[in-house]
Amino acid sequence: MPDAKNAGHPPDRPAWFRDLAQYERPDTRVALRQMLLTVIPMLGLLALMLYTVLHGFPYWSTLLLVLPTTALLIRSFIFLHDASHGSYFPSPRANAVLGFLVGVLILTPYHEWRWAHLYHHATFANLDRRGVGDIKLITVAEYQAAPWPRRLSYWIYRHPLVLFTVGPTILFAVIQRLPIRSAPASEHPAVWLSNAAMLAMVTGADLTVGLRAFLLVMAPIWVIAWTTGVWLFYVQHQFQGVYWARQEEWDFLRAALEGSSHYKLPRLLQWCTGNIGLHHLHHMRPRIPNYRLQEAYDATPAIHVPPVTLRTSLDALWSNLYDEEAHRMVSFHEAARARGQ
Amino acid sequence: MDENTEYYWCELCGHVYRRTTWEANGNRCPNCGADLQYAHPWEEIRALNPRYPATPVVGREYTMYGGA
Repeated sequence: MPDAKNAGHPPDRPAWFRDLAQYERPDTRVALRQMLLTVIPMLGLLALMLYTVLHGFPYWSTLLLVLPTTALLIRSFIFLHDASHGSYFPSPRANAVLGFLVGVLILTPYHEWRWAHLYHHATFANLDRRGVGDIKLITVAEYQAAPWPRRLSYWIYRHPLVLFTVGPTILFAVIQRLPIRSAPASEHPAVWLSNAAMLAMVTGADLTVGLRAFLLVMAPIWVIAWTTGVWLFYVQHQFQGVYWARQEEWDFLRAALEGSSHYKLPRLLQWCTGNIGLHHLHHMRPRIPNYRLQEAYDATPAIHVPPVTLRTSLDALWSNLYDEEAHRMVSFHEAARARGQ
Repeated sequence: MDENTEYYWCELCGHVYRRTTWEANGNRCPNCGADLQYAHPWEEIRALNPRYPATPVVGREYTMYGGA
């Protein structure tokens, strides 16, 4: 691969990789059916939750509906994700409209998110191109060479009680309200447009059902959806055994197969997360829509790598740093112990 | 791969640029920074979409299948 890069031409790819292209064709009918079967029940559940709040039902009855509603919102976010790759609908305009609307509902500025996400795809598992669209990760050597305030801030940032509790809420509710500094200026207006649409949504809710009722319904949904999203993204690229490499050694196929996980979830969770667990396949062929990922995976034995399961994914909780010498994720504790030896 | 292609289509963002523009950008897509791994000669994409023009509009986004 590096030879091909140096030659300035795309490298040749194995036959099975080329064969996967057949799954990259979006299907409007399947997409519409999938969207309607997700969005309509979600809106129905949201209406039911509002009804319980507005008619004095105990709040626990509202909360009973949080999980199914959140699951459908997460599934909707996968549609946004597909749209960002131009793979949900055949039409770029339809993808943009879908992405924008779902983005407003989940407080994500679609166009800039798309820019950052494509950047992530261009740079994933590459130690020399970190910093945009990913969860911050530094190497053991970088951590040990950093001054203590930076080590402390990174330690706090990476602690599971931050990364998977307040972290996602800060990211989605606060940080995403401002343009990413490294994003092109052309992306910035879309962030403000998304913010305006979100403000209109909140104002509309305040004028109709009241801000309190709106937040009693949406706040738990948002927090669980945002946290789940960050967890999925984390397990997809920072699991035990993950491949990261410097630019000169970075290999696309290896990065896709070993730098992205196959997060094998129980069938119901796989449905709720729109097959995003087949993440190694997604990185290999990002234009395969969620509704064709399983079919493409089943037909391609070359990508049947050992999966990360719900149980083994928990091992990633304390994956705090990347050890470039050992080529693996390590905890702060392991890094400190190795330094002491 | 056709090494004489004049335009590369980026599989990640769908934009088309001249090969020389990719090269001038360190062999990365000028729009999204994708590596050459995501670059496809325009002729490949046109073979999937016969209605696409022989000479694409530089900087424009084309979908992999269907209308631009």
